[in-house]
Order: sequence, then C-alpha cells, then structure tokens
Amino acid sequence: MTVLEEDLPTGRQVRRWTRHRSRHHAEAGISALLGDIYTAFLSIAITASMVLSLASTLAPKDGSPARGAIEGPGLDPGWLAVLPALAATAALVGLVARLGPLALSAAESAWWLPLPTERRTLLRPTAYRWPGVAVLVGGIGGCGVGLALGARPALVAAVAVLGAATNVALVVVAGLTQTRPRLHRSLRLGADLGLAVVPVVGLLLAFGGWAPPPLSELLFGGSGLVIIVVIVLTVIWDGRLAKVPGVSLRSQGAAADEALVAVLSLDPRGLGRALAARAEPSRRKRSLTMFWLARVPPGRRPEAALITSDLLLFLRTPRHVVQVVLAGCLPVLVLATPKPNVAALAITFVAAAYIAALATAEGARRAQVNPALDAALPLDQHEVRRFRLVFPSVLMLLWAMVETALLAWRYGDPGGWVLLGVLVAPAWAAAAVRAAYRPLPDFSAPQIYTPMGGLPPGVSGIVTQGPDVALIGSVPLIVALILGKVSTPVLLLQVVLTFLAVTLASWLRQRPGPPGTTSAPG
Amino acid sequence: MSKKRRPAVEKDRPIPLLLIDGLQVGYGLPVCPPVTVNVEPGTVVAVVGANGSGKSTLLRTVVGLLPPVKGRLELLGKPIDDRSRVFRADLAVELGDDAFFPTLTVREHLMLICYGHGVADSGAVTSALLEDFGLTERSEALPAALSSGQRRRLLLAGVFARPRRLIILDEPEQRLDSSMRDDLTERLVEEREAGGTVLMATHDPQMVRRAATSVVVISDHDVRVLDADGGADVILREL
Repeated sequence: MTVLEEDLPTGRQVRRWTRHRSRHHAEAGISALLGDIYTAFLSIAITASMVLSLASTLAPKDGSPARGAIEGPGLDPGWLAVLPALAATAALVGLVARLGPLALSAAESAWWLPLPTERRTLLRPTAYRWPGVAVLVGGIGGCGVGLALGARPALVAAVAVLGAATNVALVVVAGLTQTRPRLHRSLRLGADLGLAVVPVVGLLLAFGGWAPPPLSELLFGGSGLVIIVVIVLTVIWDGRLAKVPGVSLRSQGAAADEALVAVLSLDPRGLGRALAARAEPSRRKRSLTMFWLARVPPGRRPEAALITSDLLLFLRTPRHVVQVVLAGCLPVLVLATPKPNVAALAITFVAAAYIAALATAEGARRAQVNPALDAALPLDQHEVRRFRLVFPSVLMLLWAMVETALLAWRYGDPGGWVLLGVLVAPAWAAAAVRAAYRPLPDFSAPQIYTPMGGLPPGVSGIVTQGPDVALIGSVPLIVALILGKVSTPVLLLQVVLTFLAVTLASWLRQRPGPPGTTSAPG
Repeated sequence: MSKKRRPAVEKDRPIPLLLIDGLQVGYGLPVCPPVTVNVEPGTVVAVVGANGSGKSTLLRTVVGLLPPVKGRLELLGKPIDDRSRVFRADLAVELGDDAFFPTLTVREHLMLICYGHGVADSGAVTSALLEDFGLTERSEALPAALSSGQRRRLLLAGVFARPRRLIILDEPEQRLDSSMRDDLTERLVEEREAGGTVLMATHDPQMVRRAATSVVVISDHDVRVLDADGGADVILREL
C-alpha cells in the first residue's frame, strides 16, 4: 500500500503530465497561442505608450513657471504622474492579496492538491505570474514618473527599474504572508488604505504647494539595492512555496477563478463581487429591529423596506462609503492645480461622479443577480426600479452639492453651480441603476470576430449601458465647465436630460408572456 | 490542542488511525456539540444528522480545509496537516467538489491520480475502475459531456484508484442511481473487510445498515455513537 517517495513524480512532472495530456484535447493550437501573445504585447504597448505620452506632457517645459513658485493651492503637475504610479502599486498589491499570489484553479485544487507529490515545483509556475505583472505595472509607472519629472533617459530607466523592483518586492512579500492569514489580511488592508490615501496626499501636496524632489544619481544605487532585496525575498519565498496550506490555495484560487470568469464574461458587477465577497463579515453582532418601518403608513412599507435595504447595504459595506468619499477627492485634485485644465476637469468630474454613483447602487446590482427581495415585496418591477433610484439619488445629491460648491470656489457663482449639482445628481443615480440592471452578453449567439478576439453580439451596447446615461446626463455640466459659468439654458437642459435619464433607468422592456396570459414586465 | 500533555497510560494503547477528541467544528463559532470518536482500521464510521447539523463541516475539518474551533484531531498520532506528503498519501477524500480539467478525459483524470500516487499498473487499475463505476463507454469523454451522476462516479472512482489508509466521503450516495448506490455500498464493505477505513456523512439508511460499523449521530443538543442498525433507525425515524 505504501509507495516509496522515489517512485512518486515531482510537482513539475505532474504539471507536465497534465499539460501534455491536455494538449491533445485543447481546441486552441499554436496559432491561438501566438495570437494571445500578440494581443498581450499589443495591449501592453498601447498602455505603455498612452502612459508615457501623457507623462511627457506633464514634464516641465522651457519658460513654464518654476515648480513651487505658484501662489496659493497648486498641485505640481509632476505629482500627477507620481500619485497614479503609487495608486497603481497599491491597487496591484490589493489585487494580489485578494487573488493570490499563490492560487490554484478549482480543477488544479481538486486533482493536484491531494497528490503526495512535492508542492514546490508544482506551485512555482503559479508563483511567478504576479511578479511578472508587477514588473509591467511598476516599470510603466516608474517610466511615467521619470518622464513627467523631466529626467534624462538614464534616470528614467533607473526609476522604471526601481518601480518594477519595488512592485515585485511587494508581491513577493504578499506571497510570504500567505501562510499567515492575519498578516496577509493586514497587507490587503494596508494596500487598500494606501490606495485611499493617495488622493488625500494629493490634496495635501496641492495645498502645501510642495514640488516633487528632483531625481538624483542616488536612484541608481537605490534600484540596485531593491533588486538585491527582491532576489533575497524571492529565494526565501521559493523555499516556502510548499508551506502554503491547501485551503489558502483553494480559496485564493476560487476568488481568482470568479474574477477571471467575470472579466471574460465582460461583467464588471461579477468582478466587484469576486474581489469583495471574502472581505465582508459573515455575521453581525445583532440584527436591527427597523422600528422606523412601523411608523411608515402600511401602504408605503414595501417601498420603505426597499429603500431601507439599499441604505443598510451601503452603510454595512465600508468600501462603498470610502469609494464615495475618495471619488469626491478626484475632481478636487484637478481643481487644486494652478490652472485647472477644462478637459481634465470635465473627464475627472464625470468619471468620479459615476464611480461614486456605482457605490450607491449595490442593492440594485445584487437584485439583478438574485431578485429575492424584489420578488418578496408587493411591488411591480416598474415600482422596484423607481424606488431603487431613491437612495442613490439622495446620496448623489449630497455628493454633488459638495463637489459643485468646490467648483464655485474656483469659478464663482455658488448658487448656480450648486443648483446644477442638485439637478444632475438624479441623472448620475439613474446611470448607476441602469448599469446595475444591464443584461449579460449572450455568449450562445454567433460571435463577432475582432482583432482582439471573438465578442458576443450587442456587447458594446451592454457594456455602455449605464455610462451612456452618466455621460448624456452630464452634458450641461460639461458645457458649464467649458463656459466657466452656469446659465439658465444650461439648467433647463439639465432638467430635461435628468428627466430622460430617470425615465431610461426605470424603463423596462416588455416581454411577451406565455400564451393565455397578459404580458408581464420584464 | 496537540500541546496538551497525554496521560501516561496512553503510551501502551495503540494509536487510533483517526482520533477525534472533543472536537468542535465551525466557522469561528461551533456549529454542533463536541464530537469524540476514534476511527480504527477496518471500520466504516457513518456520520448522520439533519441538514445543517455540521456533518460536512466536521469532514472538512478532518481533512484540513477548516481549522478546528476546539479539541483534538490527529491522524496516526499527528495533527492534521495537508502540507504533509504522508497525510496526502494516507487520506483519500471526496467531498463532492465538482471540478475537473476541461481538457482531460475521464480515463486521463483517473490516470492522473494513479500517476501522482505512483500506482504501478495504472492502465489496468483505471480500466477496472471505469468498468466498476459504469464509465467504460464514457472513458474518452471530456467532463463537460458527462451527466451530473457520471461526474460523481468519476470522483468516487478517483478515491479507489490510489493507495489509501482512510477514505473520507461526504454523502457519496448523492446523484447516484440506486444500482450504483448498491455497488458503492458493496465496495465500502469490501474496503472494510480488506482492513480499509472509511469515515462518511450519509443520509442513506441502507448504506449505513450494510456498510457501517458505527454511527455518529449529530443533533443540536448532543452527539451519540450508535451501532449500524441504531444509526439506520435514526435516519429513518428522525431525519
């Protein structure tokens, strides 16, 4: 019954065996592999060129005012490359701590983990995926920082190497903490905190008027030092790969699988759930009595229950509260630059509003997946949609009032701007609710072939359902930003567009019911 | 738990294959009363109880997928640790996790287990198991082409494709037709008679009556250990 250890295959051999056998039945051949590599390189090249060209435009030009010489609040444009690079690092570490770095798919966990083979070589290829991503994120971010600060090419390269090595070091640290759940959780929270702190730091830098320090030759030594640290950490990590318990490999793999399926299904809602589910507590200390529902007239209690559920879901998901607050910081960062660029301000404002609105519509998103509450209440689907708009609208109203008051700080006319904010808020809420109820792409239909691979028909319409309303609803605000003032026609246009947005969000496609029945709202 | 000093008299006792002593299982908080049972070689221990009573949680704790809330849990005198190769070589587990490599056939899944466990005559072992579990005609099929019951048969066949000291099964009768349930029951009896050991959660009174040597009944208030007939009666009367 007992098998000698020498008779057992190594982890690497088990991997090879599986890969070799799989190749016989895999539909994709070498051409598909080359296609994937081509697509990956193309994506990286496009991303890198976009970041680098943007960073180049931030570099100080001859004749431009000297850094630190600007009076009043002013964010040095150099920070606009440093801050996103730091945010990207924090986001990467947060992602790595949620999805790994060591993780096995459900099939790998079920069929490989019970084998008595040694696990180090089994896990090694998995271990080096995330450091590869870290090299790209850190390298591109570092390169952007170097260019934005106007460094010479050698220093730009040094910053890129430093960025890549630092990101790899952080990923390896995440790997080392995987055997210690508390430390791993702390790292994830630290990364989330780091991401949250970036806009706040930006505001402090803006109001402090600090310029980024000039890049010096010390960066060469610093890069070398970090590379040595990375090598040492990697060697330690490699030696500890076999010490990661199977339960951690399974749970991280389940999260990674879920996230991958969401990405491949073009389902951002699913991606959010995959990244968040394991961070939420499974129980609360006590249940609320919800006494206030008893004070609502009986005929209105279903609506009140629906709004209460949205409110409680928001308050009990701290990341959504943080998301709303941080989204509010983004336009302020642009407003705090010496001469706010109108295009950058408009894009940031609309994007931030949409990000904040998305955080308020979690109830609708969950209802789209599992409409248990909607079905349990005596409300028809039209009413459900309308009342799902209430909580996001109220919260976005508060958000928009604060943000437009800040616009008034730079552009004057507080009454006009705040009134515009009040009018635009329901449109943003409507955009989030519309996005929440969008259908999934029909992957069973014939695919449309594109240079980026096959896509299901109608995917562009589905993906843009939500952002379209946010954009159209924001047109008067964008016009006001371009003009630098709020006029009566702009306000009237906002009223019309907000009405349209709310109508679109609460509109339901009529589906024919079974024969002999009246058509039911779908 | 393993740091607790053992009484001197235990030195003379044979170490049980699986020792479960005052074990509380759950997700931070216990989901059932403490369980105490020694699983000896050549026995089939059935765990029965209502839905949500903690049977699956107990099994998941025994195989190391959940940390114990409290109590002592040892396999051959050593704490449960799935990182140990010896632990993985000793324990054959099937908890109904329906996951397969999409590009490996039914036969290749079984061959992977044989290969990974160093089984000498993997071809013959695989063919025999495919025959026994009614999968011969589907042996070259990919998992996506299998029915739910066929996938369960493949998972169960995997348990018997490899050397093992202890088999752990979670409701193995689920998704099987009555004929395959009977075959599985007979296989468990053969396993027991050959000196093998099984710990399983089940709702099947026939399987309990025929194969089990003892039954752990988990309820909200207590945990009882009964003989096979007593356990089968509990399933029929109370569950």
